[in-house]
Amino acid sequence: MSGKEALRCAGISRFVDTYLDGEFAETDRAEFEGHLGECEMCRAKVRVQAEWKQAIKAAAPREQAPAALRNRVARSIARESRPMLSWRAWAVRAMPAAAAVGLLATFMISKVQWSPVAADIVAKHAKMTPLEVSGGNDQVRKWYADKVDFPVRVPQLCRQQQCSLRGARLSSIADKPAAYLVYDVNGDKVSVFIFDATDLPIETRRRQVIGNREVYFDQEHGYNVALFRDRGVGYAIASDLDQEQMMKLVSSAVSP
Amino acid sequence: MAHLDSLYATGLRMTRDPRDAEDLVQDTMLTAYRFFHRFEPGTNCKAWLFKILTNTFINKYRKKVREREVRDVIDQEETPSLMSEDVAVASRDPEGQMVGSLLSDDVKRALEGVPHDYRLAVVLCDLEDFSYKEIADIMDCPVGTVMSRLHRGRRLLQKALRDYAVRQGIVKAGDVIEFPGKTKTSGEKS
Repeated sequence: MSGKEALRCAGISRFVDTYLDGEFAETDRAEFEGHLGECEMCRAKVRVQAEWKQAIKAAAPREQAPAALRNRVARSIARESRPMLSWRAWAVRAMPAAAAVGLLATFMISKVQWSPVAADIVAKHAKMTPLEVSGGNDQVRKWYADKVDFPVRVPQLCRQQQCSLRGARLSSIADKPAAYLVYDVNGDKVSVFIFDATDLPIETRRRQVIGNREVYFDQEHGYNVALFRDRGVGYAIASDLDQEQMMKLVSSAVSP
Repeated sequence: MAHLDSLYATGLRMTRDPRDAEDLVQDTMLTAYRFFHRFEPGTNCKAWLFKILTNTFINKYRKKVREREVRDVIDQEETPSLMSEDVAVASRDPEGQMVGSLLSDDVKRALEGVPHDYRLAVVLCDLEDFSYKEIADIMDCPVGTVMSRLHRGRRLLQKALRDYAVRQGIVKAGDVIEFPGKTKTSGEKS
C-alpha cells in the first residue's frame, strides 16, 4: 500500500461510524463508498463495525418500566392537575388515575384527540413570523383558495376603528394546515387561526353563547384565547387583549 | 405513556440502579407534564422527553451516581482505557462468532463500565435510534462532540466485550487482529 493510500484510509476510517449511522450528506457518502469499492481493508472495517452495531442493539437489555412506576407516574400527574382550572385538569381529575395515564399518553403522542389547540396557537401567536400575503379580506381569501382544503372565510373582525388585517400566512394546528391571519387592533397583535375542525376538540370549560354560536374561552401563558366553529371550520383567536376587548372582537367575528 | 419503557431503560443505563431509575423517570414525566406548553407541536416528542430525562439526571442524580461510580472503580479492575481505534477492525471468524453471540448481561455490564457521557451517546444512538442532531440537542453539546463521544464509547464497549469473551474462552487473545500501523499480533504479515 502506498503512503498516500494509507493516509487516505486513515482519513476515511475515522468516519466509519458516521457512515454506518447514516449521517453522511449524499456527496460525502458517495465519496466514502467510492473508496470502499477500491479498498478491501476499509470494507472489512465497515463490515466489522456494522456487525458490532447490530449485535449490541440485538443483545442490549430492554427493561420494561415496572407497573408500579406507571401507577406512580399516573398518580403524581393526577395529583398535580388538581389545583389547575383548565378543562384538561378538570378532565384528568374526573377520571381514575389509571385512565389519566392513557389520556396523558394520547395527549402527548397524537395531539389530536387530546388537542391542546389553545397552547398550540398561543405558541405561534407569541412568535414573530413573516407574513406571506397582505391586502384586504378578498385578496387574503383568494390567496388561500389553492392552499388549504377548507374554505377560508375571513371573519369580520374589524368593525371598529383602529383595527386592520395586516396579512396572512400558512400555518398548522395539531399538524394540520391552518390559515393564520394577523390583525392589528389599537397597536396590539391579534392572531386568528382558521382550520378544519373535524377531528379537533376545541371545547373548553368556559363556554358562552354569543350571537347563536358557542364560543369557548381559555387562557394560556397570560394570553386570552377564544375558539368557535362555523360550518365545520374552526376559528381560534389569540391576543393579549383583556377579556372585555376580546369579547368585542369575538362578537364582531361571529355576527353575520 | 408510550415512551415510558425507553425512558426507564435509559434511566437504568444512566443511574445503574432500578430505584434511582424509577425516581428519575417519575421526575421526568412530572416535569414534562408541567412544561407541556413548551413542547413545540410537530417536533419530536420522544427527543423532548429524553432531553428532560438528561437534564433531570444532571440536576438531581449525577452527583450521587458519580460517588457510587468512583467506589465501584476502586472495587473493580481498572476501567478499560481507550484502546487504539483500529484494534480488531478486521476480524477473522473468531471475533465474528463472538459478536454474533453477545449476551444481554455482558452488554449491560460492559455498558456500565463506559464513562457516563460516552455511554449515553451510545445508548441514544444505538439503542434508541436518535440522530446525531437529536443527541446533540438532548446532551446539549455540538454534533462534533456527539461524534467523538460515540466513537470512544463504542470502542470502549467493544473492548470490554472482547475482554469478557477472551476471559470466557470464546476467543483467544491472539485471534484478535490488529491493523498495520498498530501493534501486530499473530497471523498478521505486512
